[in-house]
Amino acid sequence: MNVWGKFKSSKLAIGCLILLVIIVLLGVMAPLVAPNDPVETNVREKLSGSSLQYPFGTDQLGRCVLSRLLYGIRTTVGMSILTMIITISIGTILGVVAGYFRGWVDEMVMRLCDVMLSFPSEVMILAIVGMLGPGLENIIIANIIAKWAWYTRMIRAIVVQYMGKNYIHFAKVVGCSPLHIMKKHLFPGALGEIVVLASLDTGTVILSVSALSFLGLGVQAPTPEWGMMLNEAKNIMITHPTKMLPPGIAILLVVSAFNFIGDKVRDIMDPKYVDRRVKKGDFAKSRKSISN
Amino acid sequence: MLKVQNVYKSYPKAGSLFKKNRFTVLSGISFEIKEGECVGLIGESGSGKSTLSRLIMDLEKPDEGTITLEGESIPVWKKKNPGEISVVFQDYTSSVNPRFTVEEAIIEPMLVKENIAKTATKVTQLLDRVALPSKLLQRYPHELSGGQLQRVCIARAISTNPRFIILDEAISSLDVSVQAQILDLLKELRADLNLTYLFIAHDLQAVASLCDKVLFLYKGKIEEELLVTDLAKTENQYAKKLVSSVITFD
Repeated sequence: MNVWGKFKSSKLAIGCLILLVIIVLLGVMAPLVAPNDPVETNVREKLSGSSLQYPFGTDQLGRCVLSRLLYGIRTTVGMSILTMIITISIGTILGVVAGYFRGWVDEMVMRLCDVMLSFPSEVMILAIVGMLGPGLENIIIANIIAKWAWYTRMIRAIVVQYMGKNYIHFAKVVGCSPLHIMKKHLFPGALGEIVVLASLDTGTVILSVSALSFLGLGVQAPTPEWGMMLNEAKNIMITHPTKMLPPGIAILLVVSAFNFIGDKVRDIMDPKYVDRRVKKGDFAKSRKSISN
Repeated sequence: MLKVQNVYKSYPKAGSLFKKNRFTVLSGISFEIKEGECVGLIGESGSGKSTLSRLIMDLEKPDEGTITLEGESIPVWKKKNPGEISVVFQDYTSSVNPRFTVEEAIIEPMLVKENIAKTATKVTQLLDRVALPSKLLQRYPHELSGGQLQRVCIARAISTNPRFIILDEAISSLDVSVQAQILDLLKELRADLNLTYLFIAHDLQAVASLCDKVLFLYKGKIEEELLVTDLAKTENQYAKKLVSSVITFD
């Protein structure tokens, strides 16, 4: 069974994937599907419950919560995925090169990583955003600068573990090129673990982007963003606690969907993976055969 | 063909900061393998066999001394003669990429020399050569038995028509009946393809049945160099012990 076939056989994973695809599509088509303008205020209708015009109600300025959630996909999910792709690419390239060549290349990259890692990443993100000023691009830059070293180190560790395998020794002995070894052995071998890192951490990046917006350092009002929506809902938490639910649940769903997919992908990237689930009726059958 | 001259190799002791504190694995190894010869390298665990084989394969560099193939250093020789040196490892489970099918694994070294179009028919011939049915082509390594997988490794090792093959404990992890089969296969291949073997083992019987010459490695030094026919005449203590420990069944 190929990778996709195995992936399809897991209902949870396929459910999460469908959910994410729907969310991304909704984000892309936000102008078409959103019932209202996400930044238009309507103070007379503020903090209203769900109605035909405002399916998820309105916030403290009378803006449509559903529309803001839909437009928020673009900022929150879109930017997190972009950040992750850039960070993982940097980490993969540097990690594979350092892990393959070792020696002084490895030393240089790793010592640079040590320097970067000696600052706590949250403090570094805050410092960089503080220097560059608040804004979406700056959050992305800050996240990349703060996290690349960690990925480089993780991916190098994965690669080093593969370098000791006999099949890579064999490829070196018969004279395969470094590029061939990286492409055919190291990268596919490490890919499973990289995908897990990436999908697990996309959740973290979403949280990080949301957290910075929550602190008021990220996306600036009135641009809709889930973390900022949560922050705004926090102010009225005592009087209208339900206003925290839409952005909170949205973040929860997307982050867990990424985590479940990450776990499943790790399982199937392992070639020894066998689907050990018991099919319905197997147990009954086996009992019958015993009693016979 | 292969010339090892005065090779030294040491590793830093675990936890030591200073260069002085090193653990010498090989001290002053010199020997030569002529074209078409089969040389057995025998020694107990920790005597430096594997280190020596890694140095010859150019996976590591010696601290001192030179290793040459036909008068040239190994990397230079490999560039000039692609695919003419090959290896079979002891641990067959990690010798083949678990993501590769048998076919892909055997094709891999061939791509160093040829393009992919030429390889298809050769793979089935190679499997036939090592007495495996061609239906195994699309199987993955974990779906084969140990003996089958080691045969795949041998097929892969001879796929580029190499002249020099290092057998790094190639039969040690197989059970005795399979060992005998693989030894016969290696003998056959050697006669047919005019191969030069460096056969590393800790089992004197296997070495004696395959090789022309035996090197006894003991504590990082070559203690004795003997023709297989002269094994009984050995003067060396360690070699004597090994020879006398072999139980004969005839």
